[in-house]
Amino acid sequence: MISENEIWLLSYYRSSEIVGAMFFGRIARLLRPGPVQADVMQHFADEAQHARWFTECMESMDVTPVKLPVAYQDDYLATAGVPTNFMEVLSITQAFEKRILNTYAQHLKADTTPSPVRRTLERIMRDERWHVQWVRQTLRDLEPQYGKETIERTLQRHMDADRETYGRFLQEHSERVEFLARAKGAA
Amino acid sequence: MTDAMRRLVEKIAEITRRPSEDVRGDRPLRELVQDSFSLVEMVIELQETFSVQINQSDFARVVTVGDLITLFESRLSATP
Repeated sequence: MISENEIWLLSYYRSSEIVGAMFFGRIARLLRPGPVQADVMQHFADEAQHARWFTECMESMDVTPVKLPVAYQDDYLATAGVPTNFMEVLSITQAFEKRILNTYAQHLKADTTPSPVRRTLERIMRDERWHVQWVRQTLRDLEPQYGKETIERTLQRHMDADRETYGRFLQEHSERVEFLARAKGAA
Repeated sequence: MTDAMRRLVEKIAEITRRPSEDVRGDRPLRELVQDSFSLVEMVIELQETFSVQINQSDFARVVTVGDLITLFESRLSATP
């Protein structure tokens, strides 16, 4: 049995994966052909696939995803500001992907998480770990162009914005995500 | 209008798929784009086209089309 709160949260994850896919699809279009563009394309293909897996997971439990007008990224950009170059796009992505990984890991710790959701989250997290890795490596590769210090400062700013956004998310949806806060080892 | 300004207005019109007359200096940028992601695309594409680099703190002061043109013009004139 899946709770209404969990249906909402899975729908929220699903909506955020769709928005992530669309964003990276648009970024890929702007890049020159090469290995970085290939990674960006893999990234947006993964995000689209994740949205599909969440849909399938919910359908396997006889529930329909809720169509949500908002995604996590909307609030994210409002707090962190509009990234103006590829390095800033990657920096904001790094903060975002780490948050997603932590949130999914937290969700796995909840005793009430149904098996299909557990399997889906574990499957998605494998890709998300790769996302964090390729973005981290590409940011290192961009150091000669943007400067190591500038990149580190930008990452720090985006991590701060991430904490602010996530704090607001928890406050706004406290009733829906309360079961995550009660999960084992919750911060 | 300088040549650089004209080229910027034309490029913004092309990216936002609007007539150049819509790209007025006093117009808030948010009115020209659908969402934040479109704004990201536009700013990155303009930098690629004009070979200039800006960052988030530069862009934080930009509200109108005129602000954006002024920012890009300052970078273009600084480029040797």
